[in-house]
Amino acid sequence: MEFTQTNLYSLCSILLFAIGLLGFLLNSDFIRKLLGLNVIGIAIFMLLLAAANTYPNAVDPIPHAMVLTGIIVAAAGTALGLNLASKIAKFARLVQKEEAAATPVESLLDNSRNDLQGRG
Amino acid sequence: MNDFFTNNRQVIEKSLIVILVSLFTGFFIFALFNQPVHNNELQALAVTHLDQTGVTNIVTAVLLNYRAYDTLLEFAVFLSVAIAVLPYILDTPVLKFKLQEESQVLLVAKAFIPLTIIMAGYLLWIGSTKPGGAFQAAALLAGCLVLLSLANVRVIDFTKLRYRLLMSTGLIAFLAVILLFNIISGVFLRFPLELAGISILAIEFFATFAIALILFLCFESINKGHA
Repeated sequence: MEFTQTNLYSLCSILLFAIGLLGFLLNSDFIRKLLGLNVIGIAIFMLLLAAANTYPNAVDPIPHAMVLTGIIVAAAGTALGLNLASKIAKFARLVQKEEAAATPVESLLDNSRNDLQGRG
Repeated sequence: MNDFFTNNRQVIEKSLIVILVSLFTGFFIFALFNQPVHNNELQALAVTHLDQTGVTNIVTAVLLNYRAYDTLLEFAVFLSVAIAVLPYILDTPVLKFKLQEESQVLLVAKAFIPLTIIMAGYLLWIGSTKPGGAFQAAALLAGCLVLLSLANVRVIDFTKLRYRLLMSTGLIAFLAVILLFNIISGVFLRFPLELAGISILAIEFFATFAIALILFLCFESINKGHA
């Protein structure tokens, strides 16, 4: 099979997908995970657009329409995820403060244990 | 030996992840170069029936006629996201919106927003014949609103009922058009040929404002929602 423009784009999108997946799996930070998910989404859009362009004289409109709606939904989903992340961070801070106020020594121990679990 | 595993658990896990992802990528690339090429029959179908859709731009025809189901559900999903994000706006203490006359952002906004609004209208109008349509116009309008928000101009108060209604007009207009045709001619999610063009334009017109407002709401909930 010869190497066409479509194949080049598909190849790039697969590499982008791998980058996004690594970013999603290797980071424990919520925002980095969200960024990884976004990169994965864009890789999938790119793959769809490459598949639409298999015949450059007759471009398939269906993947284009899917990508058009997909971009908007991805943006909205990211906004929702970021909102949830900041809410979680706010609550975590609140809980930490309350625990620190109640029993200082025990809360410190709890915190260190949570940290270990979070990393593992 | 056991100590080695417990001490280097992180490294082992991460390298396992990297190996699995590279295997997956390699398999994906192998599959890409060994698949048969598709024969583009959907494109041929879409082109042959284009004269029955009421529009001449094929992507718009797919979006709002062939696959109107998808777009309807997408509007519904989008409205659900807006409803889910809305509490984060209402949570916030009322911020003081102080307009700074000297602000550079305001200068840029003043120069670009009228042009952008004209361009959005043009994109919306041209959507039936050339690349363009509701989504592109909505993105431009949302950009205007974001620029105004960065310049500390308060244009939209999402606690007001009229803005919430405007946010849901996309879905409401779509449902109204579908119901109308369902009552008149008993078809579901199909546009009669002579009315298809005008009904698609009507849906796109309302959808533009709805999508622009919801995109701006998403931005605003992150930007000012957690100050």
